[in-house]
Amino acid sequence: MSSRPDSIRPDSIRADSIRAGHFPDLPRQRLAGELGMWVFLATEILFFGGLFTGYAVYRLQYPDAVTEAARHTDVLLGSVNTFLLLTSSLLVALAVACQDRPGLRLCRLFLGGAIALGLGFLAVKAVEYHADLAEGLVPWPGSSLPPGPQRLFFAFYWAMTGVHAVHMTVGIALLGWMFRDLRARPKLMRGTARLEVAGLYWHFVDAVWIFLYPLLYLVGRAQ
Amino acid sequence: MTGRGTGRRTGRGTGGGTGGGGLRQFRWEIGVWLALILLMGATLGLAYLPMGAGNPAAALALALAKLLLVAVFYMHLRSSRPVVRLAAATGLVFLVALFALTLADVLFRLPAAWQ
Repeated sequence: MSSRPDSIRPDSIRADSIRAGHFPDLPRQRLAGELGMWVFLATEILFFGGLFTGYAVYRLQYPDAVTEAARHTDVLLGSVNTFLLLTSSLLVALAVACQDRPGLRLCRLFLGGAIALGLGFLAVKAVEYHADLAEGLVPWPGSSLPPGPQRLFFAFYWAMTGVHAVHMTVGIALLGWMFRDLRARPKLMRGTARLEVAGLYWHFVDAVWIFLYPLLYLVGRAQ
Repeated sequence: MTGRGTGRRTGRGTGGGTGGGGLRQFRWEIGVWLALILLMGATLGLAYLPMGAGNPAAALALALAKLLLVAVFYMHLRSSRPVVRLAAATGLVFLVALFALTLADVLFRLPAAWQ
């Protein structure tokens, strides 16, 4: 514990911040928060990892069908969403960088921007889902795709983007909670890891999309 | 690593006043974002170049580069404690095990059955 006491900025340990009674000091409470989120994210990596592994197996087994099916996804909307998410991650990183300032206005501004971009992502995804359904790009009955591996690709498309969208929703709720607490309970936010921990979750969801983007939207474009 | 981590923390501290220093105080965050957007553009552009097996390879390599940028800078792994880095590595280690064992089977044993 004492090997790197500088890991937490000394001036972030403020008299007005809130330390839970079962932690001897604020740095340890902060570390426990960060560590807890990373342990949870490790399980999340494996949760998504199962989907990515399944995708890899089917793509190796049916390379042509996956290439054919993947051309039906909307590159423009997928790229716009990638841009929105990467930029929202920047705003969250900026909010975390500002959280120990005397005024929390800038911090809230950045966080609000990140939430808006997250909502924008979901709106674009909704438009895209609507078009997918209209075109019959589904693995279930009523599909416009030939039975077999092409429908399998869209089973992965819906499962992966769907689970990701659920994570986005949770992430937006988390950021919204922190956005409210920055105003309503600023003492609780100072010096604790709450905002940073919410940010870790957000960056993770962004990182998952970084892989979904090429795997679902950019396959078979060169042919 | 310790030195760099410390430098970043103090760097943040010196830019303390609201609005002081303009965008320069956020040069790290903004620089990483620029790199991410450039890498995204490269991913998109390369997807349209016929490179055969090089296409998925390039896409994965660029995605890994983006992941590293996000994890090291935005998720603060470059200044976090070893125990946090260890927890972060755990997920990746087991993901690699999952892929390695699955693909060992899929690439070298199953193709015969698929013929």
